[in-house]
Amino acid sequence: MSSTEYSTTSLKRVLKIDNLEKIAKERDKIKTYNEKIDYYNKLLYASLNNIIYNDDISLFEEIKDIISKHSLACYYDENTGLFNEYNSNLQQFKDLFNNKISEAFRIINQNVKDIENNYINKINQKKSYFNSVKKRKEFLSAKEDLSKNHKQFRQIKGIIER
Amino acid sequence: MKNEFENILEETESKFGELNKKLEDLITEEQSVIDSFKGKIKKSIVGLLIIASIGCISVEVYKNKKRQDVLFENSRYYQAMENETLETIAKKVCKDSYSLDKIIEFNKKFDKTFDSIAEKGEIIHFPKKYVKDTYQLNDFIQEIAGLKKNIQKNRNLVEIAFNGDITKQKINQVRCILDEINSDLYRIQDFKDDNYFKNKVKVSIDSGSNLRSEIGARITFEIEKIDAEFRLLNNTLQNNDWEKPGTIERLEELTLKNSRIRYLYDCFENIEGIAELDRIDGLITNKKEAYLVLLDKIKEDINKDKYSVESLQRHLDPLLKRGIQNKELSLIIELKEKVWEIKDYKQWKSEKRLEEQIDGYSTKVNRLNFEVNNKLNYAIGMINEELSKYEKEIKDAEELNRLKGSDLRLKYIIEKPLAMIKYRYELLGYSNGITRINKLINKINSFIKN
Repeated sequence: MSSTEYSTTSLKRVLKIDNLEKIAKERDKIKTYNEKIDYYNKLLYASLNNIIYNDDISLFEEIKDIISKHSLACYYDENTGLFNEYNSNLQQFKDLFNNKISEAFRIINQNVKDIENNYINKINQKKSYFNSVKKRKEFLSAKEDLSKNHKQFRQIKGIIER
Repeated sequence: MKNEFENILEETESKFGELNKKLEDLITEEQSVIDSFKGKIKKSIVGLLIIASIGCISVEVYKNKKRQDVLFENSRYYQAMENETLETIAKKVCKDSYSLDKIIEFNKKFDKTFDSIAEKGEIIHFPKKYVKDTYQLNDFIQEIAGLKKNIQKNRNLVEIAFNGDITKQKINQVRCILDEINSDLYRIQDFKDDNYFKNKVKVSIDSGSNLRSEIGARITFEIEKIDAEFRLLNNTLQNNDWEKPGTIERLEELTLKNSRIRYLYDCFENIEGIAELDRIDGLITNKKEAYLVLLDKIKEDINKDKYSVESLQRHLDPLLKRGIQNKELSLIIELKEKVWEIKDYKQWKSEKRLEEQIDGYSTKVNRLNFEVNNKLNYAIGMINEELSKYEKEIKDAEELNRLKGSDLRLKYIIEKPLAMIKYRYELLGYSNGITRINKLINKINSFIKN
């Protein structure tokens, strides 16, 4: 074997190795993102059980960031399968997120309706002086409750609009 | 994403606004209802307060009127001293609510039982039950002051009475003081509940009561001292031996003590104590009598013993008058032994009631004793003298070497004269003589052959 032949073979091998590393790196990134999506998927799934907690709103904020920053591109055919799986998971994750946001609005709307029914319609029917004091107290309580729900609504709305 | 929720966002936002406004309206509405009620309540409270104030004022007016009534009813004013007129008193007390005529009328009604004076600007009532008028009141005040002085004087007298020996006169004086205190306290007793007198009277009552208690304590102390003396007397009588010289004198001392205690008991009128002293006196007399009987018996015994001594003396006197007789030697020893047995009544020597008897008796006993010893010594001397003759004979013969061949003579000496001398020594129980003669006999025997 001449020295020139040896050099070419050696270069091809190097190139091939270099390519493999890039493919592996890309796969690792997709895999990491996929795992992250899995992890947040589980957290999101367990959230919003009829009541909106502050933790849920914080989780929504984190997920909104992940969804907006985690779009990946696939450059190597070797990773296509994994990439498709990741995209599918991401889509499910987005759908779940949308569902949870819808659920949050539904809870807020339900709360608002409850406030209207329980406080305003029922309490307002009672009369006499002492009931007025009581009613005013109840209305103030209802206003506080409404305010709390409004605040949650604005927080979630802020996440959507971001 | 925003688009997806656009409708729901707008709808919810408007719902919030609508509901919030509705709530604010309701709160405002209820607040106005409450404010309206509060206003009504406030008005009601003010009304009630006004009613209550009117009520309170009415009560105060009623109470004031009542107080004035009570004041009027309870006031027992009369013309006061220190230039204070009834009118000024009426003005001061009744504050122009009542007329002077009413006060005068009132006083006419009550001045039969009560009176009053002004002292340091204060009106003071006193019941006429105790003091008829203000002059008597002044007298009474003087009397209280006198009482105070009297108590102090009596206190000094009591101090003197209980210092030194107790006498009937002193105790009678103390008794008079007690009566005086009791009388004074009784006289002022009624005043202690009286508003005017109570302070002054309390001081006097306390002072008098204290003195009375002090006297009581001192009397108790003195009685306890006398009781202690009595107990000592009783113990001395019970526990001592009343059958020895000086009994009469000691019993007489007890009689003196008994008389002293009797006097003290009499001072304090202790009848029970005096009865006990009578009993002790009886015991002392009995013991004296018993002792005198004992002395008589001892005198009798001494006399009996004296006759015995004289009898022995009569036996002793003729002995050895006719030289030494063996029979008499035995009698001397016998008499000597009897002399030893004679009582000397030494323990009764200090009893002056037996002095004469014991002296006479002792003289006889001493003489007998002396003469017995003399006779004994005489007999021993005579026998010793005879023995000396033989001792000299043997000694001389020994020195002259003449004992050889004298066996016959030596045997004779041993068997006859020396045997007699030894027998006499034995009769007298004179051990020194026996030793001496045995020595001589042994010596002689050493010279005798066979």
